[in-house]
Amino acid sequence: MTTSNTPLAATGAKPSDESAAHIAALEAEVSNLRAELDDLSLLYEVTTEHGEAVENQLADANLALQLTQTRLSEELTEATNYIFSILPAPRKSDPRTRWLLVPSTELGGDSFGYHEIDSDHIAFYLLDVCGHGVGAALLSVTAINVLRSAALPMTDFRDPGAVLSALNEAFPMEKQNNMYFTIWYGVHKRSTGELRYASAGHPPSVLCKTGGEVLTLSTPGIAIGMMPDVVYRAKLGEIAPGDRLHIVSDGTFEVEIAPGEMLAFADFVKQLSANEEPELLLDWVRGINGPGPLPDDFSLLTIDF
Amino acid sequence: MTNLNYEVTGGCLVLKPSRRIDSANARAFEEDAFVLVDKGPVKVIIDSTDLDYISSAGLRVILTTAKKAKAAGGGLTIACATVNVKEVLTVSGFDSIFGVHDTVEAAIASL
Repeated sequence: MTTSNTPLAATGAKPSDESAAHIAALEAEVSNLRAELDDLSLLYEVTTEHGEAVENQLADANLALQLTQTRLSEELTEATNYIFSILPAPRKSDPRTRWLLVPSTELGGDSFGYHEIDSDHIAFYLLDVCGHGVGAALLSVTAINVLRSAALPMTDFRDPGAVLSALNEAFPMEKQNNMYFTIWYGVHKRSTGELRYASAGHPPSVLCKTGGEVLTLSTPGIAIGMMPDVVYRAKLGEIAPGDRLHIVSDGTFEVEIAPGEMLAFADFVKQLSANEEPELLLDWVRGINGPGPLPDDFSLLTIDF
Repeated sequence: MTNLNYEVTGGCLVLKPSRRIDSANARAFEEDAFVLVDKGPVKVIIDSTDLDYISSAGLRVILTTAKKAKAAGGGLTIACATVNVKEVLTVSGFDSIFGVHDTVEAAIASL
């Protein structure tokens, strides 16, 4: 749009009253248009400035977000490091152990441990807190630390039934943000070869005998924390030199072999007993699951007696 | 209005979920079940005839439904479990806590 500063009246013609009025009206219109243009120019400037300010704010917010994300991911890594740091190193002397724990997200609810209660008894345990993420991981390490440090009052840690009953008293779901956990806990007595074990809502452990026999070991009982006053009782088994015990979580075999059809536990046991290395079993389960992370944490603790 | 199949018979609320209760639909099951238990009756039977699979998320909502029914003065039991579902109920210990019955009639009689 162009405007002229030349007054319309200065055309040399003598204006009539009518044309004077017309010119005045046009002048008024031009003046209005100028005012409007000034307003628009001002608005344009202000908007541009505001836009720049908004852009700056966005850049600041983005930077803050990136910093927060970096911090959160560093803290998550720190938490993951802690969880792996409390898992025991594989035992090199009898009984030897190997294990594999692969969380389905950054932090999982699975953890396990083993320790010598006294010179004759060694305990093995694996637990699985419902759900994933930070909350489940916190309860998981709390419970494993309680077991590791034998921090349950008046409890004989050589008696798996007593241990699970005491855990159930100590961790009711109503006081644990509605979380609960399944567990398998066993104690091997070296001098006699006895294996006492109890489980709470947990898949059976798989005992592969030297002769080729394969046994599944579990006891009835719901997950720890679900219901008050549950009494868990241990069963007694026998371990011979050369036997191999696998303790697993349900995430280790709960994969779909076809849409809507889950891998049968019996088929998993067959594969497990044929496998020498935990990594090979993980490959096999991943092969069934297809690409992407497994739906749940994969945990396998193998003990060679 | 619920998506969960149910009927009221013999003074009991019979819930009849289909195919699976897993992490994808556990919350919806829980919400529907809670609405129905609020309306009553508070004696609840999970009729598992059409159920192929219960995941750990599914067990969790059966437990919360059972606790809600119990708090309201009722209870919960399970009927007609298929082979797969029976295995999950056994491993989880739910069979001994809630009971598993061969027929809905037997489940009703037990509550």
